[in-house]
Amino acid sequence: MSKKQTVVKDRAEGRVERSAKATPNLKRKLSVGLIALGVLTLAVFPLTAASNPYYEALFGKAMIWGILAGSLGFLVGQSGLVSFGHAAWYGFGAYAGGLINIYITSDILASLMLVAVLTTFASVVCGLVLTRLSGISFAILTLALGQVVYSAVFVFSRFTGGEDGLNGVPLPTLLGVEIGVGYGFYLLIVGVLVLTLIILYVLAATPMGSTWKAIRENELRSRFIGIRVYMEKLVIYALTSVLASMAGVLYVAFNGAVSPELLQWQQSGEVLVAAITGGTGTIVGPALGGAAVYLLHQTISASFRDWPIVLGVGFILVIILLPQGIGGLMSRRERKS
Amino acid sequence: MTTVLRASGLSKHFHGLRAVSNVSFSVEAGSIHSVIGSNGAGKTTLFNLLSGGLVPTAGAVEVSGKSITNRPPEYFVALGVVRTFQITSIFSELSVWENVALAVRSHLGRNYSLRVKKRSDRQVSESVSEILRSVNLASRSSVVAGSLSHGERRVLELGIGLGLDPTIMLLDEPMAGVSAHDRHVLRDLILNLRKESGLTVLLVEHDVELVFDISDRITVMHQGSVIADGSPAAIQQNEAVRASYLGAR
Repeated sequence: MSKKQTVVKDRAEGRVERSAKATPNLKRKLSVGLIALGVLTLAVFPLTAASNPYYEALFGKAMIWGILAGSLGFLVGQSGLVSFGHAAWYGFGAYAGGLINIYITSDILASLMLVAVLTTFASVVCGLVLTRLSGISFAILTLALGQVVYSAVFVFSRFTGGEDGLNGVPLPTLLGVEIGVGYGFYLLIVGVLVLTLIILYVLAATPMGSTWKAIRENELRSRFIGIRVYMEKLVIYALTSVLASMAGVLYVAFNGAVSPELLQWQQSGEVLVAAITGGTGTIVGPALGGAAVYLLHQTISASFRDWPIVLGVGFILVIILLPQGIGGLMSRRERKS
Repeated sequence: MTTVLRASGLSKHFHGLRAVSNVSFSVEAGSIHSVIGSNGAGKTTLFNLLSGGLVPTAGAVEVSGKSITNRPPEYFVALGVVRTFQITSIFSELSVWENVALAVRSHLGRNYSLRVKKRSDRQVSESVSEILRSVNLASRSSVVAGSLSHGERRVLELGIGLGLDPTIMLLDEPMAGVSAHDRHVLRDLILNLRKESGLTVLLVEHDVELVFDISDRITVMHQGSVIADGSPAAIQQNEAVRASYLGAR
């Protein structure tokens, strides 16, 4: 029986059509086109008359938040592991990137690569314990881990600057050329964001992506079909931790300084809220959510002191009105077309 | 006849409760071997011990002559010991095709494959199609597993197990909650699998009529211990069994 016949038959029998094949190529192309258009707009925006350095910095950081929330959304959406300590890796990347910039090299690519190696090592070590758990215990332990990393900033204040934060991070260079934090760096952020999304899209589509979903759906059964769940969880945990640390490296180079607030648990909470608001059922949704929450945070908190109230109420509204998040809205519209 | 699975002196105690105590029996290749007993007789615990779900307090499990006591489930699966679950245990949000494909890829060692077009893996695709055909789910392959009927889910549960190319399949109450019609379908399916691919089946089932109908050998458990073991005819005549189990019905 052909695909078409199957679907027609299902419809004829009045079953709700929720087929995995229900996303034909056209819809996929349409959403890829939309995302590409969005990225292009972001990339050329600073060149337009409407832009100024403030907007450039704002959008640059919003994209960094997009990478951060995108990585957390992937972890939550694919494997069902809800981390309350994802900002720890963001902060880890920022501090490591800042220290590398000060003491070793100001080359941004070298920093990104070095931090990727460091984060892989550190997250695998933590992951060996964390991935033995799931659900609430995993969430609580990630929260604790976040606090450990936060405290480490104060313990090693000789290097990290403690409460004052790490200041005076030199301007980044790229292959010997000082790119500073202007348009060149902005484009680098766009590039890393796009690369992150591509990596995540590809991984989600591979057999490994399927095993993550299997673990999310039914961890016990996954073990009984021979999936090595600890290994699979470790891979996705380390992967998303590394991506979060990349966001951190970009942040510290862009901002020139980092303060311990960056890896506080409130920050982890806000990233999680952003990822869920964006919709963890999609890949691009959490990244959008991250950027949106950052932009709102910056614009609202400038004039209104109690930003958390806005975030909280907004989050409740999204959960009630759009349980699939912003990304879910997009895919629903796709399905109708 | 060769022995596929052997339990010797298997015991499991939970805080003093002897859920399974000193159970020994062996399952011959190509047979349908059933374990019956009233609720709490220790059948499900026994299943967990035989599939790596629980570590026995004492005793040993041997698969095709290899001792695999104290090993995790993945290890049992690798040796061809595959179980299904009493409470349907499928991947509800994934398609029927993907449910079976997960098992097939796991069996072929392709869980870490980075191939993007999953369906282009011919070896996987062909196995999945063949399994879906053999369990009559071919027309449902693209449907999300969670939207299947209860009977279809029980069948998919079996299909996922088949994806692992089992030497022995441990079926934990496959008929639980299944309608009379679907029971018939499942029964024929199990018999057919044995006939076509020489599958060995260890069956735990409350449907006594079915058990006596299709089994080659029956092990009867009562309060954690084996009280009888033999052909269906012998079990039916067994006084102890009649008193503790069959007679009570």
